Amino acid sequence: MYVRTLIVMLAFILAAGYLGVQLFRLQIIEHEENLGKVLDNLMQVTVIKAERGTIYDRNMQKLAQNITTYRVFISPADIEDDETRVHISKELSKILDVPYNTIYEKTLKEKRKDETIKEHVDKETADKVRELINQYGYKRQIYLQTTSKRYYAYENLAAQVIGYLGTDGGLFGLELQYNDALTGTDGKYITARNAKNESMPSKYDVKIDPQNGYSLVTTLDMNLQAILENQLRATYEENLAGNNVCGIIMDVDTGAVLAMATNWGFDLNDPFTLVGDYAQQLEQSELETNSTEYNNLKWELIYSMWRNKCVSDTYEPGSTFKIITSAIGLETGAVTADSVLTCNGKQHVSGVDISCHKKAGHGTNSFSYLLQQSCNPAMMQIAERIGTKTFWQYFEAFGYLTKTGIDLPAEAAGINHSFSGFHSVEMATSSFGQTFKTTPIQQLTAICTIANGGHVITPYVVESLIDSDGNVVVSGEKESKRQIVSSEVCAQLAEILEGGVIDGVARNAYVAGYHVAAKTGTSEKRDEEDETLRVGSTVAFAPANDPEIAVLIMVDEPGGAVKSGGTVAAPYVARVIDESLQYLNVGRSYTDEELASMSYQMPDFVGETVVNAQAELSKAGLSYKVIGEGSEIYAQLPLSGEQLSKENGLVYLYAYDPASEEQPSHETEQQTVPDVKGMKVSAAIVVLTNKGFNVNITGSLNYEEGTGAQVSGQSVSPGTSLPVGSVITLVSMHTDVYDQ
Amino acid sequence: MFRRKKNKNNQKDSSEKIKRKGKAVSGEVSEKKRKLAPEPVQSSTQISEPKKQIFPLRKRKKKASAVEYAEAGADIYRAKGSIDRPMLVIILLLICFGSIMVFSASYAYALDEMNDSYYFIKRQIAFALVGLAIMFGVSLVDYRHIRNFTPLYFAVSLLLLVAVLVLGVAEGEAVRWIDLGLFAFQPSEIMKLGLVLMLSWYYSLTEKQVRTKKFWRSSAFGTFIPLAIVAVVCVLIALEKHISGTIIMFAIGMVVIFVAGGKLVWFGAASGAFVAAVAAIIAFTDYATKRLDIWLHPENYSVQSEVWQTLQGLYAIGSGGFFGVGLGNSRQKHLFVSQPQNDFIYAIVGEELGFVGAMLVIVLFMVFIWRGLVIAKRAPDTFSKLAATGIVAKVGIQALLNIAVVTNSMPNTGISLPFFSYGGTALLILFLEMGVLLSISRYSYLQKQ
Repeated sequence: MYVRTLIVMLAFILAAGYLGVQLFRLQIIEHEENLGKVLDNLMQVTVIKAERGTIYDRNMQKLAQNITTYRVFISPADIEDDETRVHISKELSKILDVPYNTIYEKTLKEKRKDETIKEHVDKETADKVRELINQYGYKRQIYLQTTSKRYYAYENLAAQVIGYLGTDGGLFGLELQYNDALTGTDGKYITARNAKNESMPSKYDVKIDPQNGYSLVTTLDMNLQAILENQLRATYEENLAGNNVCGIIMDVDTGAVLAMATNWGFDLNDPFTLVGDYAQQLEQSELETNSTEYNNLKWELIYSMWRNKCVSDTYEPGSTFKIITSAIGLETGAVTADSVLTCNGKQHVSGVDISCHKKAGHGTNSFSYLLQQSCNPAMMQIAERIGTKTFWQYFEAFGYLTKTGIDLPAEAAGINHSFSGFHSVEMATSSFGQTFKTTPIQQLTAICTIANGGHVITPYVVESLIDSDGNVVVSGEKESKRQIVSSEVCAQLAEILEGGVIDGVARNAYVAGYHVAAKTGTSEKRDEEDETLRVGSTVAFAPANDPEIAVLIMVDEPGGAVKSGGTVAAPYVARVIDESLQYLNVGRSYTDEELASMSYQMPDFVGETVVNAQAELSKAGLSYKVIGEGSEIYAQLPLSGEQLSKENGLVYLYAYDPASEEQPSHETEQQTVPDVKGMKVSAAIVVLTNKGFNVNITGSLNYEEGTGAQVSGQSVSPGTSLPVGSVITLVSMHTDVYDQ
Repeated sequence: MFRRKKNKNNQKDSSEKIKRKGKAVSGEVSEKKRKLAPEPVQSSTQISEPKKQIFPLRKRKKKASAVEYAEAGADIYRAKGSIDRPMLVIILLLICFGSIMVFSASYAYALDEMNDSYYFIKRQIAFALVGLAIMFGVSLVDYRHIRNFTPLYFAVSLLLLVAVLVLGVAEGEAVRWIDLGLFAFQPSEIMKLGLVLMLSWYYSLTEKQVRTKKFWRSSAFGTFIPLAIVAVVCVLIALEKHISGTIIMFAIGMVVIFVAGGKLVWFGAASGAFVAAVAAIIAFTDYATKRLDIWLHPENYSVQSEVWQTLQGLYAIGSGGFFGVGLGNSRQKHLFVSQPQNDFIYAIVGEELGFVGAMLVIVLFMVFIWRGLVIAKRAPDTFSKLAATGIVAKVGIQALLNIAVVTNSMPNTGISLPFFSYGGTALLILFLEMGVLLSISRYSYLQKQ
């Protein structure tokens, strides 16, 4: 009996041991799997969306933000009869502008509890829906759900840079580049649901707060962006760019991108709708709407429209690169500002003749002059003195061999020679910016190095990431890597370049009152079959003596008669600089020469004595004509505040006798405004002043030199009748600049 | 019939013993007790005077009121003391643990079903308190009274088993309950104790025949007749379509018969036949085949409610991990494991208290079994030994089978976990059994060393 009892005990122990093993398997080995099943089936996880960060410009204007919208959905399962179906469909159709049939079909899906009728409904419409729900007691049939929508307040400004938020994150631009930081981490609200799908006691609830996304404070300035985009649009239209235009404004010291634009900014709130030229291309394709080819083309065009040309496209920088060649030459001592070089119209390099854009040659002249005239052989000679190895080292140091590392997606790398294939011919062509390709941002970054006194910088768009409490989390400014050119050389170079603006091929980049250092460039598109295709571009920085901003405008495939960068880009760069520096409160400083030829701002002479006015005008060097009898002036033309050129200026003063009781009156002589567009500026001035008008000239300086600048625009359209003495503003522009 | 026979035997025995009782140390045995004189215990050596050495076994129990000689000339003494305290502690631990788990497990279900989270725990505590009273009451009764009461108890149980087939309340296909209006109970639960007592009583009468060297005689008395008793009970329960009850009943019977000295050769044969029968059933009936497949691959049958229960139970246990999700924090009890306070309460233990808690339950039961068998070993006579063994076996088998079901170590059949599963009458009967066990524990025999 005792032994058998022991056997029973043993049997129990064995059985218990087996169960222990089973427990171990279930609870320890298969624990994760079982836990997962429990959680999957039992826990209802509600995601609390982390709020996406806002994108600000540097003035804390919201470029991209979240706005509250509503989703309207119905629960067909809760609609009892057809009468209700019809009523709901009809009312919702009215409020939401959704076809009646679409809604009615959804109401027929009897088993569904959530059929979306319309998403991203604004608050006003949502209120109407709410009213409908309350009025007819549709609380179980119609629902409103708060959702969020990305809203881009500036619509088409900096569209390619800001980017767009698609359903799965940013699609391009900053929204893509900083997607992770902007997104944040979603929170969770885990509520337990029992088998009947009812809430379980709250002790099972777990709330994990969302970590809201960081906001971006960008370096962009929407005012500068607007200035830049206006000029890009102007040059695009006036010079018939075949492959679009782009431009950048950069802070020369930090590399902060103040504005960056590619023409044809589309509305970021509707980025899938083609605009401008892209829409036209689709239309002109004459493909059947919604056919496969049509859709393929459409998407292709949408992607090109989204493309940020400034960082994703490469081009041969052409003569704008001569700044770099010159900097290397000056820095290495291969050349000085006063070195004398000779241009015979071509240069013989390793058995190959490479010609200058001026076939006759620039003759023997100083290096400064030749750079200002954008002479190719001069550059080749300097490069030869520098030597391939040193040239290559500097080429690399200026950042042409690597991406700039700007914080924007899809940055293209330049297309370059390899060092082993970089011989004298390659160096000769490279010295004036051909046979290699760079991105606009790369080119302007290199120019900034010259502008800021020789420091290599990294361009960037995001100044800082800030959390939802406004604390700065990450700062975007990169420290200057190193100085590769001495500040003396840079200053010297800036002076030479400024000279080129006053009296060189960069004349169109002139801005009255600001010292501008600029270099224009026109490059062949040697990888295209069409040999007439050009890229016209201009780089500039200002003020030349203490640079603040650098500007680049690149016009890809200008389609007009004149394709040189000095014509298709430089005037627009000048206007960008003019407006930008004005906006940035950089004071103007005029040279004596400028002051002399400058326009005169009319003071208010009304109420003044004729004698005083005459004295004032004489002092300023202006002619005047007094009409009427008397000692006091009651009217004047040009009006107070108007600008007029001192040259040939004639002021009409209307005088009366304050003692007499007669009302002062006079007859003004009217003249018809002639068409002076296309005329030489000097000729236009003569034509207009002969008619008795006053003239105000804007645009490039030195319009009387060379073959002369032309009038590219006049403020009053031809045929208008105006009183004599009125001011007509002319825009002058040089069309004779060659800068290849 | 039994009664008479037994009484005759008893009278003979007791009259003899009373005569020999003159040498009792304390001499406090009352008239009543004389009638309930113990049966002779076989011994091989000569007896001697009892000494104080007997006390070390019950050192602390100075209240031991009596030590009586089992038999003049025997070397074994019956010692009467207080109930076995370790066993009492284990029982109280189990019922407290169990009640806490009933509360935790039933909370959500009670709220959902009864609109009162405390519905089950209130009743469970009430039943437990009544049960404890019954237990202490019964433990005070001399087990020999219980022995004498056995034939009546068994007969009533048998009658109830028959009655349930006629009057029983159907619950699905099975008819297991008799509803008395105020409460309902399962006769099979009552019969478990009945069978244990009946077999013990039977062996106490037929000891000589069982122990004989004659093979067939021993087989007949030691194995066939008790097997027949077990078979009658099992058939009656099987008629209720109460598979788990039949299995448990059979197992309890087998343990008692085994310990009482059933011939091993018949056990071997019976096991072989049992295995063959099971194999045949599985092989030839689609129902069984399917059941087996469901058992082996429950995840393929998750739509069936029973399988759902098994799966959810497995998920519950598995999700507990090492330390569990914490007492009261079960997620599966929220109607996923249906009626979690009943047969699947162990799943909730596993989920809330983890591997540690689940193993603790097993260990507690193992300690219970060990202590119960110690009581059986010390018990003074055949009836008490076998009754203690049978009660312990009943609790142990039921506990292990329940855990086996919940861990899907065997196919799902409705087996409750003693002390843990909610159930009014079952709990009362369990405490009645514990009362009998504790009653037996008050008596022990002492053997001179």
